[in-house]
Amino acid sequence: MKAEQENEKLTSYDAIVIGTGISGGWAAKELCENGLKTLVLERGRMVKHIIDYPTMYKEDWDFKHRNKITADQEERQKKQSRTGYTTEEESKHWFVDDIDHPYNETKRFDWMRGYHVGGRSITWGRHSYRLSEMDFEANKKDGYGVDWPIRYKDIAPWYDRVEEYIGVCGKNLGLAQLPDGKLTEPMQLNCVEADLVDRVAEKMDGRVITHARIAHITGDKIHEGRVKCQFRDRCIRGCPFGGYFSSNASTLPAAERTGNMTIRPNSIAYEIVYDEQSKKASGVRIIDAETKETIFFEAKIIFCCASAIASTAILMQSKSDRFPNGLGNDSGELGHNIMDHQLSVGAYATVNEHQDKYYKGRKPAGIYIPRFRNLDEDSKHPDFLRGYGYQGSASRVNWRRAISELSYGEDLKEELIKPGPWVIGISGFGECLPYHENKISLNYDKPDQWGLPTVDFDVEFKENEKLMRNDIKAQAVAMLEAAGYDNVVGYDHLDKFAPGLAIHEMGGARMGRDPKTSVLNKYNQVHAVTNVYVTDGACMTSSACQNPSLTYMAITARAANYAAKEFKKNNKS
Amino acid sequence: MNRREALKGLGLSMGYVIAAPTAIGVLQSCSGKEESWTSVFFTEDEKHVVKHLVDIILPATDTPGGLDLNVPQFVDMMCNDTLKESDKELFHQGSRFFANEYQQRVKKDLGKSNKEDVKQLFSLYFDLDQAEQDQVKLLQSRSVENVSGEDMKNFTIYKFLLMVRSLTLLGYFTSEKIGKEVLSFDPIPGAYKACIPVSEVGNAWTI
Repeated sequence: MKAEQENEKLTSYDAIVIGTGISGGWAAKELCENGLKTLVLERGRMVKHIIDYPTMYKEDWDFKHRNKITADQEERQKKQSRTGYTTEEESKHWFVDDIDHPYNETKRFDWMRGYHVGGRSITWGRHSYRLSEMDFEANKKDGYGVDWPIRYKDIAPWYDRVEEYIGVCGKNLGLAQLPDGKLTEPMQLNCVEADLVDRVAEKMDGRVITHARIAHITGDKIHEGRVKCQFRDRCIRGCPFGGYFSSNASTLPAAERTGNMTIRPNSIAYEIVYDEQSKKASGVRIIDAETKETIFFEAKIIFCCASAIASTAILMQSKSDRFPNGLGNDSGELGHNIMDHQLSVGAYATVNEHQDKYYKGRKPAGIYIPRFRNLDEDSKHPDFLRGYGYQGSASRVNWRRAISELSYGEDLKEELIKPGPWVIGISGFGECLPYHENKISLNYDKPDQWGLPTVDFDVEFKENEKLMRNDIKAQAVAMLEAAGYDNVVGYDHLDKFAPGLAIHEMGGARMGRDPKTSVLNKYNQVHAVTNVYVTDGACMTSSACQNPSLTYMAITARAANYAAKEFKKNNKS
Repeated sequence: MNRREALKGLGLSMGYVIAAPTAIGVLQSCSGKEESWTSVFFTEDEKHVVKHLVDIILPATDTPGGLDLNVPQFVDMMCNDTLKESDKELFHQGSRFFANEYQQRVKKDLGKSNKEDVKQLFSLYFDLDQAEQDQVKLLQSRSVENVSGEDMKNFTIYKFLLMVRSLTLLGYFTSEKIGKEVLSFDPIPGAYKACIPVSEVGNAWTI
C-alpha cells in the first residue's frame, strides 16, 4: 500500500474511490481486479496491516493507565467517548479528535468515526447478517420511505461472494427472515448459552437462538495473508493474525496485488466536479491534509465510500449550476432519511448453574436471536411495524464484579482470584423507519480547519421506535426468565441513548426506483450523473435490523462489477 | 499455503512488532520503598492514609498484597491523570472530612495514623448490612448538585474511600505480577474450548 511515486504526478485515473473503510476497500479490490487504474483516497493517515496496530500485543500492565482514558484525552474526544468503550487506551487512536473534527447537533447525534486507512473496518462489531426478502419489501408494504429498487435475488450472489472472501462463521437455519449464507463452522456455544438456546425453544414455542455470525476465520479455507481467529478478543486494536476481516488485512492488500491501485492518504475529498458538457462527473477535488494544497484528480468513474454521513456531505458540497443543492439532488432527498439502529435496551441475569464449568479462550461473540416479530400474520405485533434482533453472550465475570461493592480484606482478595459467577445478557438491535425529516445539513458559518462546512444533525427516533423498545425489553426479560435464571433485570437506557450510538448510521442518499424521490438507482448510480456511485451506508433505503456492513460490502461489490463492465463496454466502442 | 506455513510467515512479521518497545507500567518502574516516591496528586495526609487503606482493602496473605505492588503510587497517578477537576476536588474534600472524623474519634492527626485505627474507622463505613449498602450506593449514584448539606459529608467520604478502593482493585488485578503469577494467563489462546471443568484452569483467567 505505498503511494507510488511515479503515479503521484498522474492526475487522471479510470476510477476514484473515496474512502478506505469496509465499502471503499471492496470498491478498490473489485475495480482493481477488473483492471481499472484506481486512485483510492483516504482523508486520514496510512495504517498498514500489523505494522500500524500499536496496541495489538499489549497486556493490561503495558498501558500506563491500565486502559483507562485520561481526563485530558477525554476532553479531546468528548463525543467519541459517548460509547463508553471506544476511547480507552487500547483503541482511542482509531477515533477522531472531536476538537479537530467538529460537527453540530440540532439534536444529539453520536457520530463515531476514525480518519485513517481502513476506517471503521478495524473497529467494527463483525456481526454479519444478510437482509432478507421481507426487508427489501418492507417499505413498499407498509408505505414508509420508498421501495428498494432491488430484491433479495439481486444481491444474494454478491452476499455469497463476499462471505466466501471475508470468512463468516455461523450456522445456517433456513429462516425466511435471516437467509442462509456461505458460512464456516460456528464458534461453539458455552454451556450457559447452549442452555438458553434449548430452554427458550422449548418454553417459547420454538423461538430460535443461534450462534453469532461473525466475520472471523474458522475452518481450513485459505485466506491470503490471514489465519484463523486465535480467540484473543482484542479485535478493536487491530488483529495481527487477520483473524477477522478488515480492509487493511484483506481487500486493500488484494487491490494492491493487482498493481492497479494508487492509495493516497491525507487526502480530504471535498467536491465531485460536474461537467456540463458530458453530463457526468469529471473528477474529485481534494485538500492535501499535510501540504494544504488543493488538487484535482480526473476519473471516468467515482465511487463514494466515505461513510453514510461523509459521502452524503461530499455530494451536498458538490454544487454546480446544474445541481445548486448538491450533486444528484434533483429529488430534494439528499441528506434526508438518516437512520440508525436503536440499542441500549435488553436484559441480563445471573446463572446459578454450571459453577464447576469454565471455558478456555476468549470468544469474540456469543449468540444471536433473529427477528421474530412481524414476520407474518401470526407474529404481527399490534403496537409497531418491522422488527428487532438481539446479540448476547454468557461468561463468568472476573474481579471487576467487585468494583462497585463495599467488600474488602483477605476474603475479598481470595474470592476475586477465583472465577466469578456466570452472567448472561442480551441486548436488542431495533429497526428504525426512514423519515424524511431526519436529516443532516451543512453549516457554512462554522467551517472546520480546512474551511469546509461542518455537518449538522437533526435526527430522532420516533413513536414506532419507542414502542418497539418496550417489546424488546419485555421479550428479553421473558426469555431469560423462561430459561430459569436469577435476578433477571430488564433495562431501557433511553435517556442515555441517541441516534448514532449503534454506529450503524445510514441513509442520506437512498436508492430508489424514481429519480423524483431518491438519489441513487438500482446499481447505486446517482440517477442523473451515472458515473458517480454511492455504495456505503448512505445508499440504504431502509435500515432493517441486521448489522449492515455485510450488505454494504455486497452492494459495493455488485456496483463495482457493474461499473467495470460498463467501463469496458464504453472503452471498446 | 497451508495453515502451518501461514502461521510461520506471520511469526516473522510479528517478531518485528514484539521487539518494538512497549510502554512500561508505572508499577514496574518503581521498585523502591513507599517513602521514596513523591505524590503528584495526594496531599501528605492522603499519601499517608492511602497506604493504610490499600493494605486494608487488599492485605498480603500467601498471595501478594496491594502494598507489595506499589498500588498507592498507582492510585495517586490515576487520580491525577484520569479524574476530572470536579472529581479531584471531591476526592480532597472527602479525605478532609475523613481526617476530621479520625481526629474526633482517635484524637490524632490522620497524617500520623496507624493501620489499626484507620481500619476501625474504615469498618464503620464498610461493614454494613445489605440495606445500608444499598443506601450508600443510592447516595453515590447522585450527582453532587443533588446532595444536600447533611448528606455532603458522607457523600464525599464515600467518594474518597470508594475511589481508593476501585483504583486499588484495578492496580492490583491488572498488574503484571498478579496477571502472570496468580491469575491464569493465556494471552493467545489459539483455540476455544466452550465448556471445561474449572479444575483444568484453576484461578480466574487474567483477561
